[in-house]
Amino acid sequence: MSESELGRKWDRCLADTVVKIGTGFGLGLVFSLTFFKRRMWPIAFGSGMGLGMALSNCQHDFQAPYLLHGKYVKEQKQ
Amino acid sequence: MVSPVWSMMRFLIKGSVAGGVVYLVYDQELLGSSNKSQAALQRAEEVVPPAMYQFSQYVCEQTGLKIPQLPAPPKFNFHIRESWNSGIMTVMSALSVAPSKACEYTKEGWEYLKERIK
Repeated sequence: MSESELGRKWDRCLADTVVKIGTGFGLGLVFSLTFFKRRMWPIAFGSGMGLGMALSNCQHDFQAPYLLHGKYVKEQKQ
Repeated sequence: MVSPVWSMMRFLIKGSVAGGVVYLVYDQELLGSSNKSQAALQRAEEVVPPAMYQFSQYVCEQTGLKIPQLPAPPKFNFHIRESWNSGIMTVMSALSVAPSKACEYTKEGWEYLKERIK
């Protein structure tokens, strides 16, 4: 992986983290205000979900060139 | 009779607001792949500042208040990424030659002291 590609991956990872945490926070805020009587836990849950999804995407993005994808082939009897 | 209708109306309004936000997130693909999120962030960066400026202009026109013009932020030509890499390489090369340089300077210092003592 070249340095410029690594830099682009880091940029994408950071942008993705910001968007997902913000989206999770926003969704949690809306649900907290509408259905859950202004409790804190939907906001924390949404932010945590967003962070987890962003981390998963980043991990997959950085590991992608090194992961091998194979498929199981059944033995054919001749 | 009024309060069940009112509670139903409140539930429908809340449900529609929450459903609208969920649909917006789904439509803009904010919780999808990282490429889509990056594109959404770039779209937001292009749209939000002019919208904020137009809204502030509208508020100024309606209320008659004048928002003071802030000076433009200074622009830096400092590239952190490039200088970080060259900084790391400089530090590592300095560390690798540090023992031999220390011996050399110690010898020179010792020779200088011997010359001075004579």
